[in-house]
Amino acid sequence: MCSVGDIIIVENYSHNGININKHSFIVLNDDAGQIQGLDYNLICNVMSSFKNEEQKKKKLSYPGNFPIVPEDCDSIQGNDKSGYIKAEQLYYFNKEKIQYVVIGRLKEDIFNLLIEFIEEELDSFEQIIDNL
Amino acid sequence: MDKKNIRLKKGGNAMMHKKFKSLDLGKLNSKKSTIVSSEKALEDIYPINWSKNVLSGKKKVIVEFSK
Repeated sequence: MCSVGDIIIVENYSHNGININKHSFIVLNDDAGQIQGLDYNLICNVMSSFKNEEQKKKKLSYPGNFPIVPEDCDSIQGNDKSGYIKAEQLYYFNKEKIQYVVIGRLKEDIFNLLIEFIEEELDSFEQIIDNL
Repeated sequence: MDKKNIRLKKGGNAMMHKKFKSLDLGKLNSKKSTIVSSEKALEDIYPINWSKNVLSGKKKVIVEFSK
């Protein structure tokens, strides 16, 4: 069971039948709906670490990427203990079709800033629906 | 909008559920959107390797503004 603002790890994320690495997501909305005729009840942003310092500079220069600094993670891929939330990508899921675990959450002020940014500042966004 | 630096930390008791502003899809209707594959969307995403304590549920991750 997850709710808006939670950080979840999707255990069985797959694409074209191929399992993809476990990714971390921020829950933005958990209302039921339909997109392209497919049922969903979860919309998320993905979280990412940085590959290297060069990529970090590149990613953080883009307004759609929200920086985060994980203080207590034992290890982060790449050579820098920080990452970002990719705000302009919306991942649609059906909770009944995925396995996930809640590992934490955003504080309310940060979450609302993220939502405000998506709703008010983004000119365009990408939708990922092939998990439905 | 001025984005502040935010940080992650493992926390204990600060996990109380408050009222969060859920994403209003109606506000996205006027924006340009494209459907992309997971493969394309995730090609430059590097999963975060959380600690064993986080993965086991002993510790929770909290994202908050830098102080």
